[in-house]
Amino acid sequence: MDRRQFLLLTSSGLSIWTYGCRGSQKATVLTDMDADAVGSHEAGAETWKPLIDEAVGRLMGRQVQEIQQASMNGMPTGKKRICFVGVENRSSEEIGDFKEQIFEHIDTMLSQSELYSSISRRYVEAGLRETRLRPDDLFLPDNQQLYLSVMQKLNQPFDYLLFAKLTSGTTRDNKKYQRDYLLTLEMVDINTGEFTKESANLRKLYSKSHF
Amino acid sequence: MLAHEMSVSNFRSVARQVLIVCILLAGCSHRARQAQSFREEFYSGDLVQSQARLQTLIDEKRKDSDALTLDKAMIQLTAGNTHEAEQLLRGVRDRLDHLEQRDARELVRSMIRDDNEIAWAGSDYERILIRAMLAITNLMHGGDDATAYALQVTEKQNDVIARIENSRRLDEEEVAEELHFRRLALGPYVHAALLEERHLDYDDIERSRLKVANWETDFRDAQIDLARAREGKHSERGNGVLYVFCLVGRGPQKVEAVEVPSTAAMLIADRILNEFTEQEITPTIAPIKVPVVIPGRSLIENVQVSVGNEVLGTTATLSNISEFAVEQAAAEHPDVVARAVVRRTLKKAAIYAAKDSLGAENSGLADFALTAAGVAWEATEQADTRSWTLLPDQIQVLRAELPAGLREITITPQILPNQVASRAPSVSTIVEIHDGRNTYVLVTIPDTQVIGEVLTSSDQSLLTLESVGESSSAVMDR
Repeated sequence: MDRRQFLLLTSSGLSIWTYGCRGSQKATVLTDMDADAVGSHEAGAETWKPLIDEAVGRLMGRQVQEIQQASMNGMPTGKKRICFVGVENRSSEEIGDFKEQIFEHIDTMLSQSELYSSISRRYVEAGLRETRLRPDDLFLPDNQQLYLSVMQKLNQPFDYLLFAKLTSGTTRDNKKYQRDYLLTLEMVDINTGEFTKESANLRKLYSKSHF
Repeated sequence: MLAHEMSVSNFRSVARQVLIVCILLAGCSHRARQAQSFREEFYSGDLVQSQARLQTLIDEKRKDSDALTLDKAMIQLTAGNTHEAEQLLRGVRDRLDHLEQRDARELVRSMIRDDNEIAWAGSDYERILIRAMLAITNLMHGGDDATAYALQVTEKQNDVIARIENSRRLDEEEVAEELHFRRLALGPYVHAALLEERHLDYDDIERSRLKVANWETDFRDAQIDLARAREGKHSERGNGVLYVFCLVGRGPQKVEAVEVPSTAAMLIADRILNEFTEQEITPTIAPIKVPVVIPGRSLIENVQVSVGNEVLGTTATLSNISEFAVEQAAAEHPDVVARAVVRRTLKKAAIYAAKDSLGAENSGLADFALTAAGVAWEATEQADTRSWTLLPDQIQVLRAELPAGLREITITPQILPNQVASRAPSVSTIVEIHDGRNTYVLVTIPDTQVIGEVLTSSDQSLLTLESVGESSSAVMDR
C-alpha cells in the first residue's frame, strides 16, 4: 500500500466513523427501579418528582398532626375537600409539558391520601371561567366566597384552596452554575382564612464541557 | 479509411451524448415548468388543478418529494381538508427529523456530485415552520394537539440554536451576538391563546406573551396581550374571543446563486498552487453555486374584519415568514459554502491524482483532456434549491372579543397603496362564539383575494345564515 492509498483509506474511514449512517430512534420502558434521566440543560423528572414527594409529604404530615389534635378535642375529622387551583411557574426555566405532569402528580397524591379528596380540574376551570377570576384573585376573601358559591352550584364545595408555586435561584461560577429549585404548596382554609405553607428544595449543578 | 471510420464513430458517440444531454435538459425544464405551474394555479385559487399537477410530480418519486408533500399539505389546508393537511405535515416532520442526521454514504456521493445527493431534510426554517403550521392546522379542528405543536416550535428553535452553539463552540452570549436571527413568535402566541381560554395558568400565558413581545418587537398587539396576561382576563362574562389568522402573500423561495468570494478565492488559490505543483490544477472556471433564500412578497397591507356593519379591526403581522427564513438560512450559509468549497477541493485533488498517475505532464493531450473533464465535472454541480414553496410571506392575526352566539364575520383584504387594484372582494363566514372560549378562523390570501375556504374551528354543519339573529349589533370593541 503506497502513501496515497493509505491516506485515502484513512480519510475515508475517518469520515465514515465521524458521520456514520443515520440511526433509528428507539425507546425503552423504564421500571420503577430505573433512575430518571437527568436533564442537562433544565430541570426534569429527576428534579420535580422528589420535590413533589417531599412537599406533599410534609403538607400531609402537618395535617395529620392537626387532625389528631382536632380528634382529641372532639372535633369532626372527615376527608377534607381540596380545590387545587394550579401550579404557578415563577422559575427562570420553561417547564413546557411538565407543568401538567406536576399538577397531576400532586393531585394524584392528594386524592390517594386518606386525608383529602380533590375536585376535578375540569370543575376548577369551569368555576374560574364562570367567575372570570384569575387564580391570584382567589387570595381575596370576597373572591373566595364568590368562587365558593359558584363551585357549590356545580355541586363541588370545598374546604381548602391549594396553590403550588415553582421558583428557582441561580448562582453562576464562570462556565458552571448552580440552580436551586423550590416547590411551595400553600393551602388556604376557606372557612377560617388560615393558611399552611410547606416547601421542598433541590439543588442542581450545570456545567459545560467542550468534549 | 480506418481514420474515416473512427471519426464517424466518434461523431456518432458525441451525437448520442449530446442527444442524451438535450433530453435530460428538456426533462428538467419540463419539471421546472410543472413546478411553476402548480404554484401559479394555487395562487390563482385553482386548487384542484394545482393539486393534480403536484400529485404528478410527487408520484415521480423525486428527490424533493417531501418538499412537494409540504406544498400539498398547504393546498389541502387551503381547501379546508385540515385532517389530511395535518397528517401530511406530521409525516414529513417525522421523516425530516430522521433525515436530519448525517449519513456518510450520502456525504461521499455529495462530494462526487453535489448537495442534491443528500436526502432532503429541509432547512432549519422549514423544520420550525412545519410545527407552526401543524399548530394552526390543528386549531381548525379541535386544537387537541395544538399546545404540543406550539411548544414544539420553541423547542425546535432551541435545538437549532444549541446545535449551532455546539458546532461553532459559542457561548450563549456569543450565539446571541453572532446569530441574531429572528425567532418565530407564532408558537408562543398560539400557546398563550390556548392557555388563556383555560383561565388558569396566567404565569405561563405571561411568559409566552413576553416571548412574543421580545421576538416580534414590531407586532402591534404584543403589549396589549402582555398587559392582559399580567392583569386582565380572557374576556368579560358572556363574551368569547375570535382569533383570525391570515396566511398572507407569496413566501420565500430558494434559488441558485453564485458564491462569488469563494469562487474568486479558489481561482486565485489554483493559480498560486500551480507555481509549486507538477500537474496543473483544474482552473475554477465553473462558479461555485449555492442556494440562497430570497424573500417573498405581499400585495396586501392587512385584513379588515367586520361583524355586520361594525369593523372589529385589522390584522397585524405576527410572523414575517420571509424575513425569518432569510435570517435562518443566513445562519446556515457558512456550512453550505464550506461544503461546496470542500467538494471543489476534493474534485481538483481527484483530477490531480489522475494526472499524476497518467504522467500527464509529459502528454499535452492527456493533460488537456483531464483538465477539460475536471472543468466539466465542476460545472455539473447544482445548488440544492429543494424547498417548501407554498409558504406564506407573513402570518397576520387579529384577536377580538365578541358576545357569545352566532356571528357572521366579513373579511376584506386591504391592498397596499402602490398596487394596480385598489379594492379586493370581501368574503363572509358564520362563526360560533362561545362564552369564555376561543374561536379560530383561517384565511389564505397569496395575492389580493382570499383563495380556497374560509376555515373556522366552529362546526360549519350546524351554522346557517338564518341562525345568526340580531345579536351581531351588540358587538363589543376590542
